[in-house]
Amino acid sequence: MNKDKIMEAMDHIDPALVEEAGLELSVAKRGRRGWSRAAVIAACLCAVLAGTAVAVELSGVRIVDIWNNEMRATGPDGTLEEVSSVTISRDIRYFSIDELSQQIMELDQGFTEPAARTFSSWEKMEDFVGIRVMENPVLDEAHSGGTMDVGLPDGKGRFVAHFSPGPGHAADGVTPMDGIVAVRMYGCYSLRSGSPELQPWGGVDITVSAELAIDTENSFLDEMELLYSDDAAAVQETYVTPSGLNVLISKTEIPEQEGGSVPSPAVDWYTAYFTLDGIFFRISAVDYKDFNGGNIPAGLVEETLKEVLDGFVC
Amino acid sequence: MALLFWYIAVLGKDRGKYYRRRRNQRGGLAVFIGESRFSWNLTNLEVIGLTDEELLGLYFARSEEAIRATGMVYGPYCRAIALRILDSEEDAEECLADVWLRVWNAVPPERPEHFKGWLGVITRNQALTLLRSRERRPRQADEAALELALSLSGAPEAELEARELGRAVSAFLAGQPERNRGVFLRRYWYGDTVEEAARWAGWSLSRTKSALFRMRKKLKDYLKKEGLYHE
Repeated sequence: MNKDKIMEAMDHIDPALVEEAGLELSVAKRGRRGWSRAAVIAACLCAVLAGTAVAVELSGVRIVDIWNNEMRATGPDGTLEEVSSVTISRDIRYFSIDELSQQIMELDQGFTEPAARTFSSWEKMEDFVGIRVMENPVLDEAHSGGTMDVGLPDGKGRFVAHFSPGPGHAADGVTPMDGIVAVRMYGCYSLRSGSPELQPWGGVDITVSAELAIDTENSFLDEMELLYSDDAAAVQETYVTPSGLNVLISKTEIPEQEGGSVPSPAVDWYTAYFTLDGIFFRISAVDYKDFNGGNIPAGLVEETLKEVLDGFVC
Repeated sequence: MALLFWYIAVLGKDRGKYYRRRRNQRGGLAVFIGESRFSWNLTNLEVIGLTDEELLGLYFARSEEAIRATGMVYGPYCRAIALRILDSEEDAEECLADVWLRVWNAVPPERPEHFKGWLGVITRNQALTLLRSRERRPRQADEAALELALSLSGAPEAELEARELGRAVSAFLAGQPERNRGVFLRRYWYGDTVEEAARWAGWSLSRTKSALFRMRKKLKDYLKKEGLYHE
């Protein structure tokens, strides 16, 4: 179709629509819930969190709210549980869908349900998405880790991309929107493989998650909430890599869980949060300590996590 | 003459609010009413407050105030459209003079339901006609049209008329969320840059680009579904 025909066709647009678009609209601002108030609350609560080192201001990721021992419906059945939470604000970039690959743009059409794809390597996943999200020689050298399972068809493997749709606004009387709101890329790696001190685990498993936010009607991904069950002890600290990447590391000590068909061991769960070029990263590692006959030296998992963080090229 | 009396009755009733506004601001009322109602010398204050119905009433009464009043109420809007296409103050003035003449000749018998949008359509059409007569092309509007044309690349039905396409686009837009269709029209009808359309909607640039991209795709799908487009 040529542009002259388009120009001519525009002469026949309904004047009611033309008039509507000719009206000035008030500027809708993206909500940032109680930012300064929350920052103050966070700063105050830092003082009362025993044994917790909290940095309120970090480059890329900030803690904006902390709640302790709050009753929340955490399960799908609405069961109330006492939890603590840390809300973090993320300086993320909202990508335009046409900045991503042709495959993603095609997937975006009429996209209403979550979907996943598996890949044989991180690079192939990046090719599919259409963006190089990270450069990390430490991960390039790492061995194959476990597998990620996002609970969707084609969503189980070492490298998985998960696509989230927007929730829509049907309740507000607005047409529910379709389209991809976020692309989450997962990669599973293993470091220190073969180290005798890591038997029977074989290595330290590291899970990398990179999240690309897509600019849509529902672009409210600036904040996320980290939930901790009441029996977990969470500690947050800041870590600055040699290349200047500011990272928020959360260490959660989860006690042994009795009951259920499979007992859960006591573990220390480390997760590092940061943004790089507007992309939100979550790097996780689990210290199983002495579970299943293992005897992982204290601090080794945290040290390995920081080794991976140091490998990120800014 | 009957039409003139009808108009006076309607205008007199509706214009009460303008008189009151004037009285509140300045005090005196009686002389002003007598002069303006029967001589048609509307003050600027009154003109700016006229509704579309009242403006159209002036045309139906064949009052020469109609053109001045329309120019005062919708002149800036029409001038902005003309300037966007013509990129010249002088040409825009010439275009507007033609627009007012066209409106004068069209109303009556026509009584546009959406007078402002209708004026916008006439202005855009007149500006493009003027530009073509000078063998120039509208730079910004051209870029926007090209962007939309490329997304509809392929061969639509050969016999598809611009009018039919315009109606189909209207029907498609009517089913879209208000701000999305607004952004679409700001870009492809008013010829805004993407940045200007983003500012109009209060959206970020990337969100606006995403919305436009998705709207173009949806439009293509809509035209296919309606049997108006074949690849």
